[in-house]
Amino acid sequence: MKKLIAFLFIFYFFSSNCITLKITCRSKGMELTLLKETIDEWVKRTGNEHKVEVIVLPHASNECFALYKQWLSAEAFDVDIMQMDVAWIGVFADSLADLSEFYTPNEIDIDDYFDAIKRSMYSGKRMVALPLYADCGIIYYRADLLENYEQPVPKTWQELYDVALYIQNEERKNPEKKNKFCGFVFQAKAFEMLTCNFVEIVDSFGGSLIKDGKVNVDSEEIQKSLLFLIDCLKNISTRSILNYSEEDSRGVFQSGNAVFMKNWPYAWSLLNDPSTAVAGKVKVMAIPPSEDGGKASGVLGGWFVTVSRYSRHKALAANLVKFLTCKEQQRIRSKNSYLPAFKSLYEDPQVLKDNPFFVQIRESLKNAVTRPSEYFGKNYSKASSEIFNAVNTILTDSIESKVNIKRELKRLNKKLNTIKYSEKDSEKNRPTKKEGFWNRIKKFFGF
Amino acid sequence: MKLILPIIKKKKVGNNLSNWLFLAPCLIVLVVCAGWPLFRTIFFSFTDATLDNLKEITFVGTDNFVSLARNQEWWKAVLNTFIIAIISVPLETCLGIIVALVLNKSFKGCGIMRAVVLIPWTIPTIVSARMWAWMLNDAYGIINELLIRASIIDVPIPWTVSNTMSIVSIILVDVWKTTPYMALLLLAGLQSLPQDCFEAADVDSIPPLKKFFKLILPLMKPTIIVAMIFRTLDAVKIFDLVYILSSGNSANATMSVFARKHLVDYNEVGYGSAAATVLLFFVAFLGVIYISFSSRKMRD
Repeated sequence: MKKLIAFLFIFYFFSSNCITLKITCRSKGMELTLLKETIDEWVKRTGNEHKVEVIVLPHASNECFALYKQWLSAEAFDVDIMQMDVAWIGVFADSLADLSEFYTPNEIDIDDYFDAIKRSMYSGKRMVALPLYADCGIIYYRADLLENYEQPVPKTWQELYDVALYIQNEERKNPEKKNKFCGFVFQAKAFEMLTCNFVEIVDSFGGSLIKDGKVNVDSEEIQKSLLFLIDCLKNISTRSILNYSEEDSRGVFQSGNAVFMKNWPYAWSLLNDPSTAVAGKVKVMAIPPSEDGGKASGVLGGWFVTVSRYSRHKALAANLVKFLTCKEQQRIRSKNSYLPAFKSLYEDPQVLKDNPFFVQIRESLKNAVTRPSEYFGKNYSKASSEIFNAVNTILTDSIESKVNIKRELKRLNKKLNTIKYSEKDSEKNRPTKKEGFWNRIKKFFGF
Repeated sequence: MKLILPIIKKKKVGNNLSNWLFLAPCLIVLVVCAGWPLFRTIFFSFTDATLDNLKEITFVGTDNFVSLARNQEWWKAVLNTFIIAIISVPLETCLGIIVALVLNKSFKGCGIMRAVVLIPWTIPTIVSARMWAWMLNDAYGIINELLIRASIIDVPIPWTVSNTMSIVSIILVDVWKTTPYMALLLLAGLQSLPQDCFEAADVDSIPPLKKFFKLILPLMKPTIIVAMIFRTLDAVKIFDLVYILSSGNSANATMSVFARKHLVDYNEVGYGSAAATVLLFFVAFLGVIYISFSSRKMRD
């Protein structure tokens, strides 16, 4: 009997010590596989004591966003570690744990991060997120096709347009490719990626959505960049990009039916998989400027790892976060062309050997443009959906009829201003003292 | 029979309490699962609640409904919903009647046939929507491929891209999905029709078309109307097909897509609840029509 009690006690002791952490992950590209490998490594290193459960997120990033909103507003403790897009950190900052509490000051090499990334990690003085990998919009091109048709690597958007149009017309002479081949694929489905693409092209045309602290979307540069997008859509692309997300456009490019593709770096290793039609034929360039001598662009993306404030195992979660985001893991992940967030890794010979295009990306990352998430704060998701809705509407309408870009942009300008204004307004009206719910009802009925 | 009868008689006069006791589990589940969320939604629609702040809320009266009425996107969503409902429901009914008439004949393997026809209805909508989204894709979709090979079209049709085309595709997929359901409802009605009329018609050798319009259709009228109201109730709530098959632009949203977008994406629980409440009243209105119709039928 005593033995049994002792056994039960030991059993209880061990079983109570085993913690199951829950972490979210998207299934885009190799992400899930890589994460699982890293986690297995962590579990092994921590002595097989704890378990980690991976929650797979939806494909479209604004759906992940909605999911996080539901979890965090319900103060759910059934998720501990969340992967987040860089633009959301500000939105969720209040519900995230301060990671710096769990690390000693020199445990993480903060100064080695790119500046834009370092800024995104903090909310005020609290460090709420660590970067899993950086992301930057780039253009993939078919080096073999460019060589075949003796075309130069484009340096400006106009050159890209000309090259794409030329190759598209030549390729379409082949009856098999007649209806399939197109010059340039990007993503214009009404979702977050379209906001990214828009911010990026506006930046490369020398414009900006926010100027001197004010929304300024009806500027001339923005009109020009939209006109260019419409030209692309009509002449060197397929209409269905209006319903394309990243993976759809990768599908077209990977099966050899496009010359140029705008996408994130994650596609590199997938495109170069020996089983694809384009393996070894793809090269990468930064988002070109609109005119010669302009500055190359690229929108800052990247997924960060955060710990929920409502998690029951924050310290352990912070430990896993540190392991996931450490330099060693970022080096491993860079084999699959996920961009490291540390500057020093871009000088690492092995990393550069695996990904020769990192040299260009380092430059893009240095002058990467960010989405206006800081400006809109908590209302960013609403602002972003107004932006992608407006751009999608303009592009869609441009196919069916003539579209009045100026009017649409004015409307967008007004909407974005209201969003910004309503945020200030609600902050002002929100009572500083917490009033009870029932007091409020009493107040409402006047007793 | 002798044994059961007294029990039934006793039950008729049985005390009220035991009736309620038997009903209680069902009522509790209903109140918890349907009543409470419903009440909360209606309650939130009069407040300025946001998703990250459901506790500190202020009553704003009917502000949400007023700004909803002024919102063009909302009216576009209402219009889209009704376009989809008004086109798809009659189409489904017509096709449903045809399928039901075919299935009503007894032929070899008609039992299997009745089961097979139901397959589209048994696939979860979200799965069939995804499936159709792939089949309708203009770069690698099979539909365009088939149409091109049959030389019906030259250039692939971008089914899910423009606003008009995506509504057309949504209606097509909806018809594909719910015709079996209509057929099943109508088949049940068809089989309960009095056989003597048909025998009389056969004796008089009435031509089939005349038999259909003068005999089957009038007799089936109550069933058809009930089935159509059921379908309309469902069609007004359409969400998953639109969510998957359209490009996500608010120009082709329906009422429930609009409500979800404001509730979740835009953080505006108050406003989204107002939209959901209005949708509820649309559905409730159709429900009232149905109930009044069926009670009139009972009286007749």
